[in-house]
Amino acid sequence: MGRTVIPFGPQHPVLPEPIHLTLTLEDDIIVEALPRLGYIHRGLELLARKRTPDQMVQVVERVCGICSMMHGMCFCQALEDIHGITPPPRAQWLRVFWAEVHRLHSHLLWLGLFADALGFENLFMQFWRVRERIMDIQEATSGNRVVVSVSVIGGVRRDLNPDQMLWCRTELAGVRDEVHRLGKAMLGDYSIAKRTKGIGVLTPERAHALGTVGPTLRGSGVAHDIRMLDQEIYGAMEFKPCVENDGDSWARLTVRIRETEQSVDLALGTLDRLPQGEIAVKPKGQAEGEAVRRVEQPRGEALYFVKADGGKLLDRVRIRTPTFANIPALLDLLPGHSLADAPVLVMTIDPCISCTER
Amino acid sequence: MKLPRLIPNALRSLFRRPTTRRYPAEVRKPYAGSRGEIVNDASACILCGLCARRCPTSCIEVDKHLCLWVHDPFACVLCGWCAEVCPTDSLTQTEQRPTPRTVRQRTELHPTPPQRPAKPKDA
Ligand code: SF4
Ligand code: SF4
Repeated sequence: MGRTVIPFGPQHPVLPEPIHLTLTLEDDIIVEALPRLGYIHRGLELLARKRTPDQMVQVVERVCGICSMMHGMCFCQALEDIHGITPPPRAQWLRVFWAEVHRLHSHLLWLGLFADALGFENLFMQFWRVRERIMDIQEATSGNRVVVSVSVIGGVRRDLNPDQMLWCRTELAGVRDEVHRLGKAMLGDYSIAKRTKGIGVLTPERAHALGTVGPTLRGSGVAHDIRMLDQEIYGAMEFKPCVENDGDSWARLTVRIRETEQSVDLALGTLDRLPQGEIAVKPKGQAEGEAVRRVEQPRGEALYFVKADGGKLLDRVRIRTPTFANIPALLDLLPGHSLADAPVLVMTIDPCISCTER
Repeated sequence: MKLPRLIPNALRSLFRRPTTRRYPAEVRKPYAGSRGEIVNDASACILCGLCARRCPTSCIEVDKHLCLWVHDPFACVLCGWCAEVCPTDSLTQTEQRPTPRTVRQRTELHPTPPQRPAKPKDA
């Protein structure tokens, strides 16, 4: 049988971001998928040689718009390790609060886009309407709607006052109700079930072998989440990762819906337990040494390697983003499925291409 | 089956206020502490250059000899650090978001550099 080669992307209606996949089809079935990346490479890692560590915080926050908080936080944690300082407890809890709010806003964005990829326009608008409330929380507490930019080396830049905390509580409770209602509508939909159940199955062994991270891995039944390692904060809130065992698109969708509700609870939990005290300590002197830090982003585990040689500028910053780790899994998922399923399968790993290419 | 539930929902939506705002005509008040436009009060600026050194996008230029303070609002990411490090608080961040503009123009100010403190009269 003759083979057809179809280019998918870099401009495709389902994805606002430029990823290119060369799909080889036999009849209507994909037999091979090859990626091509690098359309929006910006060279942010190299900027470390031109910007001071303080300025780099703002740079790494812009690696990705929708998980900027975690990027900045992880970079700051790595530099704190090098400096040998610990941020005050209140700063650590505030970081977790913003990180969870950020995860909410990222997951709601994905849920909307996923509904859109399935052609469910109404649900798409509904999810984004809820997301607007989260962005209002971000603006009211940090000053920016998306790139919250609250982390500094040694702590955070902004504090929450009791009025804001009260308002955040009511807003978050409202968001939880709405997410619950919309999640039920999404999971109860006949067509969504038809398009996702049993499609794109990733077995736990395969997911593990391919180095998959985040909700894609947890959808395959592997309870792996960097937040589990943080005994002090997440441990105090009795955090348990959301895991589904089927490994198909449906499982990945369910994991994200459950994580969205869980993030509301975690954000509310941080507000309940927020200790009093300072919000930042000043790092002294120039940084010298190396550090590796991992953080759980909405899309999975991100890894930062920072090397400083005691000079004014950093020697090297290396960022491994979650989508980078998930692309092999995507290429493994696609063969065997029909072309019509490709957009939905690409969406289920929640690709963030600007992250990947930095 | 779903129809009986659908009808009241549709009727409610028909009479509900829209969720969105008619944006340029109707603007929400920014929250307190929102990060907006960067404004410099030229009379208080001492041209120390701290803001230019802190800016992550290098969009501020300070030249002491030409008495020039330049800000490129199109390169600014509104992080607010320049305002935080300004020693005289001449540089501030307002709560108003920058408005769209049709021409790309930099803000150029000519602050007077501080004079040497005058000698006390009784000395
Ligand atoms: S605006 Fe402030 S920080 Fe910038 S040069 Fe003037 S006084 Fe210095
Ligand atoms: S707000 Fe940030 S980007 Fe804009 S001028 Fe100030 S320091 Fe530079």
